Amino acid sequence: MIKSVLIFNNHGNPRLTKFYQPIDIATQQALIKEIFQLISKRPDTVCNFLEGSQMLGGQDTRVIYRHYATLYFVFVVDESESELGILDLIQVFVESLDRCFENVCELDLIFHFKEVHDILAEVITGGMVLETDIGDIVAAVQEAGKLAKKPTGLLAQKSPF
Amino acid sequence: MNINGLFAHSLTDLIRGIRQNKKNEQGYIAKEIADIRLELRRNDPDLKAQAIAKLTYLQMMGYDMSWASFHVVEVMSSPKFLYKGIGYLGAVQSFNQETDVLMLTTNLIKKDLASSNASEIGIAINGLSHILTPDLARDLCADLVAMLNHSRPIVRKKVLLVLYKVFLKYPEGLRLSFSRMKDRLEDPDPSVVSAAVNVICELARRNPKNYLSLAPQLFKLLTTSSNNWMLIKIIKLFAALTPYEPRLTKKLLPPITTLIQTTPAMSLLYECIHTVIAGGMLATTGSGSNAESANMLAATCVTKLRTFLEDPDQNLKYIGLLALTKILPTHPYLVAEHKDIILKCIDDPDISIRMRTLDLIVGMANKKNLTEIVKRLISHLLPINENEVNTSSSLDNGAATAALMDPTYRADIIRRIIFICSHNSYANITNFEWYLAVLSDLTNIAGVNVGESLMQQFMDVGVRVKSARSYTVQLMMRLLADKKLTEPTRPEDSNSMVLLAAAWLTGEYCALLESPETALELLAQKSTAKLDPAIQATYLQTMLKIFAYWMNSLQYSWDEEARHSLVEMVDLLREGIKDMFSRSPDLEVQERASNISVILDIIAEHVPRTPLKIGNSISFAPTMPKPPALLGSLFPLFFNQELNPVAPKAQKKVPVPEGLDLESWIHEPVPEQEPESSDDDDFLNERQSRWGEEAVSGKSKKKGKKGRDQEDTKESAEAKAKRKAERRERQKHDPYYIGGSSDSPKSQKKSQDDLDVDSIPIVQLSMDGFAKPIVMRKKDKSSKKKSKRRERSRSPPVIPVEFAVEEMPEDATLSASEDESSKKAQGRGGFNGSNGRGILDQDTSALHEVDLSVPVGEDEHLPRAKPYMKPEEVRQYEDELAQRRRVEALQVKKDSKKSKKSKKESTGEGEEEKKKKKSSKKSKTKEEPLIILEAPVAAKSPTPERPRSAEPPAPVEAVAPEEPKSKKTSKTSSKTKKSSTTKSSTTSKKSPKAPVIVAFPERSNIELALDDNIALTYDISLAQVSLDAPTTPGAEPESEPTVSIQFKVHNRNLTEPISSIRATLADSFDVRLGGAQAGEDSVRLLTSSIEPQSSASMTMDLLILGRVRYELQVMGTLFYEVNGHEESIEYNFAVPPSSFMLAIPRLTGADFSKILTEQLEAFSATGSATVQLSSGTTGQDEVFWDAVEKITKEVTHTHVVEVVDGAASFFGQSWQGYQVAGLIKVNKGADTDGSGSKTIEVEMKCTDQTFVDGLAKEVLDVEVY
Repeated sequence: MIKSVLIFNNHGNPRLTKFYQPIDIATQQALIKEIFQLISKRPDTVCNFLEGSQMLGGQDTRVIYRHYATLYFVFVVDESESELGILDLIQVFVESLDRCFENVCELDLIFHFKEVHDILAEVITGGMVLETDIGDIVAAVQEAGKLAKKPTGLLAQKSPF
Repeated sequence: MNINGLFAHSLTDLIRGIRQNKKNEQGYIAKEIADIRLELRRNDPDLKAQAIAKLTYLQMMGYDMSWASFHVVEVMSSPKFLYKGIGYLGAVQSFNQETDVLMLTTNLIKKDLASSNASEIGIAINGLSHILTPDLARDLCADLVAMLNHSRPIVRKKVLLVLYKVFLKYPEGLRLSFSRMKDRLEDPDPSVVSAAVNVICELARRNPKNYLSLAPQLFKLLTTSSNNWMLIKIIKLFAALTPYEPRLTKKLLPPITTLIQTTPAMSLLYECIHTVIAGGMLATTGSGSNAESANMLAATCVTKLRTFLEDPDQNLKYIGLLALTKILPTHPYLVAEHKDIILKCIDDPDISIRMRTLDLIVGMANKKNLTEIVKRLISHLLPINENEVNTSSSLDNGAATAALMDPTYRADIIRRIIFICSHNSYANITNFEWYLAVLSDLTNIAGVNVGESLMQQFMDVGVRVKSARSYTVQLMMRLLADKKLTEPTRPEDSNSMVLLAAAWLTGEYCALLESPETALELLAQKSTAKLDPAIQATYLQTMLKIFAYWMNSLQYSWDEEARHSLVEMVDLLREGIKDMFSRSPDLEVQERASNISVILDIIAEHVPRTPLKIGNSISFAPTMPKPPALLGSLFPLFFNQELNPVAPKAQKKVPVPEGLDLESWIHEPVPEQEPESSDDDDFLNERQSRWGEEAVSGKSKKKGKKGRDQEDTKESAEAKAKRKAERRERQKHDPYYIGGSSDSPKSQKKSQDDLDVDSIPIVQLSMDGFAKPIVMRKKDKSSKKKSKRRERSRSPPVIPVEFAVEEMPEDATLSASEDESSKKAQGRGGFNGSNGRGILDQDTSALHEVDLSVPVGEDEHLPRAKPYMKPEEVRQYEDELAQRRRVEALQVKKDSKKSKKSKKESTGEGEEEKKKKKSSKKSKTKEEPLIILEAPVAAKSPTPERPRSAEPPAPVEAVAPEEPKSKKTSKTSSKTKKSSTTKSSTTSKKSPKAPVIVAFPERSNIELALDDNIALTYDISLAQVSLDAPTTPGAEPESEPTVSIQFKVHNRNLTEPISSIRATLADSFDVRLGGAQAGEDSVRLLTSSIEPQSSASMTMDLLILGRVRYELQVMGTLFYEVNGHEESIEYNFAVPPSSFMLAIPRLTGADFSKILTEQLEAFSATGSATVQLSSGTTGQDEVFWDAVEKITKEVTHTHVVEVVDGAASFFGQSWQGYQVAGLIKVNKGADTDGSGSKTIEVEMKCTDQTFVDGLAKEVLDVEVY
């Protein structure tokens, strides 16, 4: 199971938080802070597995992350996920973002906050991997995107977004 | 502020604003949230969606949005896809299991799942996977299972994944739908198959046996698929299955070997190796080719793993180590093969890799390599340059330096060192002096505060290991003199705590001190006053101890010099104590200081202040002056008994006295603490065989407990002797038993004999044999291992004894708890700090219970399973349903009228409804006045829930058309079973003489007025005339409602009849006489008179003109004649809002949520009340259900819709068309005083504010719930 997906930038500002089990908001924030503090100390040359979270606990909880430019992509998973597989999955997720936003950068994630969630939902559902094929992921996202843009009534004239 | 939606901030505006207001982000966001609140209050769906989107964004930044959950549901129910997505996202990010509006989402999600659009289904499924509750899971399971055959693969795979989540909440669903799920393994779409494998893999982690039957299918996939992601999952799945079906191994070996040899994907390769090893596939010692191939595979794995460790990719290195750590317990020899490269990894600049290596190394440590490993570890703590000198493999990477200075890392290293050394009762240590030196080094170089653990180790080793004691004392003296410890520059990082051990050990073993005077001076140094109070207290005690010992030793060389030094020492100590301790803010220190001061004062008084006269110098041997008795006076205070460690199980060996029943409780059981044994798994295995000879965990003075002696004599001498011999044998070889041996002067007076534990349990565990050189012990041990083991197996049965804390010496409990806590911190072999549940772990225990081996019975099916329908069909179905309901509702109304009619017909009446009422009343009053009471009641009784066994069958026919509906909603009725059963019981209780069915009990016989002659009571009910009123919600009533007041006049006069009774109504804007009485000025009782001690009734119809509210007052006067005089009595009462509630068909949960979501805007009025529950003797649940019963049925005249644990929703509709939806829930945490009394919250939403206010007040008015 994937337990959580977090994206934050080099300053620890969250850009996406997703917890696949309900967890109260104070703990969410504390966890992000803790993971950021641990991760930000690590040079890019070291491995992508983070140790030493005091908060997470659990016998087989692993924190796997990748660092792209200004963003950290952090996956918290348990034993039933393959460590290297998750590293690949992060890559899949990022490439999907890149395909959807065309040269994705941090600002895309900030201003298209909901879309990032939508893309993630096409990769992971309920903490389990839904799709690893980037083409399929992007196709599903685009299909939903078309539906969202369909002008319906008021929305056609006055889009609040 | 942003009242006009056009000027409201969009999400983009909000994000920009946050970025522009970095300096006052919080202030800006607070303002934005205030705006969002306003936006949510408005009825603009666009604004609402936008507001929720903004809130969700802020939620990510840590701002709570749970207050808006109701609005989230509103947005979820938006017909626009974009808004729906926003709503679902808000729910996903902010809902939890306790979010109460989840009750409302069932129908909504059901509808979305039935959408024709895959994307819409997608967001619903994704949302559902986050917000599932047991209720949602149960209600939607059938729909989801039906969707497993959806035409779009993307829907099928999403459904598969969400089903796993459903099963977690609703485990029964797994059994019922497993075969359908299994079919997906054959799905034509590979990604659907992958999703199915994924789910089965998760399921199999919980209960592998259930999925053995899938092995052939999975095997086929393993050999045919090329999807690495799925192959990994299949491999993992097989790893879980093989332990339950060893034959699988044989079948799996060839394909896995092929994969290992050929796959280019490192992740797959790694999983294969991992599975092969962890799944125990190498261990199979089959015959012939099987064994051969297993051996070959083992060799391949080993070489492949080595490539992981040698790979420059840090990630591969890391997981290679991870695999080795997992292999270590079962295949230590495989790991040992890689020792060289593992030891290299420990110096890796990457701290994650280092930690994994440390894990491995901790597991690898043994007697032979302990010194090397510890040296390696310590080198990490040393400054870099020193490190280069000391170790061959130095750290050249600068990046690692920072990590090395990380206090957590350093503390971790130290804890590991202590762990591997003290592990298994110091089994790996051959030289304790070396270990003490290591500990002392650690004290100096730690750089982090690990004083506590070090202190415990010093104490432990100092007390246990007699042979090293003199070294210990020397070392402790060094620590006492160490300025780095006594005057630390950074007290928070120094390990000053070791001074406590240092002081205590020097004090306890001061006989081994070279110079007690030096020790005393060190203890009395000025810097002591800055130390931790606990250390100061120990210092004080130690001072007195050493002083006592030293003064005693003066006896043997009592001369002028001795006297002089004594005087000086007493003065030094007195001064030191007065300066530093007497005014300590710490009570313990202060008290000890003043005690010792007094003792020293007494001594100072008695020490001869004048120089001693040396005896006759002529004498050949000068006679020494007799030393004053004082010198030896303090010695017995500390040194008469020696401290000895006690075996941890000594206590258990105490026999149970006859007649003592340890099973029975002396008093009510208190919540049990964690059993002692649970936290030291390390010892678990030994415990079974070596119950008696483990490391000591406590010490005790040798003062026996005489009482136990006698009990013991009852034991047969033979058994005793046998045990004694065994014990002596064991003790001889156990380094952790420290008996009173010869190298301590003060123990010399003691007998060297093995003291009998059986005669004096607990305390006199003194043994000899420890003083032997360590090397010899080792030899002995190995040579006698066998016989020892045999003896152990014959050990006497352990008789468990309840722990009597007060009987234990204080030291024993202290050290025992220290022991426990240090073990707790260490855990089993690892230092991950990750024992127990993690914060993100999910409770999957329910899945363990599910047994898939039993075929699904015919009577078992998913709740409300129905075939998958296209959305048009669903909508059509829903329309039909609504249509039918409307028809039914109408029918019910007609039927009720009919039934009433028929009733009336039977009494000989059949006119137009309105007129009839009046006339019927009148006619009835003449004949049987009391029966009239029931007429209006019967009129308002059409409820679908009527068919109840407790009630007479006749009325059931009246609601026959309702029957199919209640069947359809069997789910709801089963849910509300509890309440309906209680309901029926209360109904029958409350109105035993009323055979009619009532939706809610009437407020009857309310006392109104009383005088000498009459007692006036009244009943209140909605009059028949009103029942034609509007029932469509929101529609304005065409006329005013009429309320029937049933006055009951009782003649209290003993002799005189009462006559000419009439009631008038005071003028009011709110009410006037209505119905048939409209235009009249009073209502008369038609019977001429009431005989003494009997009653009669009359009805007054009140037309309610005013707005229905809480205190709608009715006032009037009742006139009557008695004995020829006219008397009058005034009355007044209020018409409660609940009187206007109609008996409506019971709503299903789905309808309820539908009403709330679809007509949400109408429900703008809210009212709430908190009521106190009585704390009776009945169970909490019953009290709660009784209260729910009372609030809904009796007070507010509503009905319960859905019931969940600790909460109930209810619904009702008034004559005016006001709808009331409410929630009753137990107030959590209210029961703090332990009195058992609870409060419950009643929250109502209504279409009319005044009305709901009135209802809320009514709820409050009721005193007892």
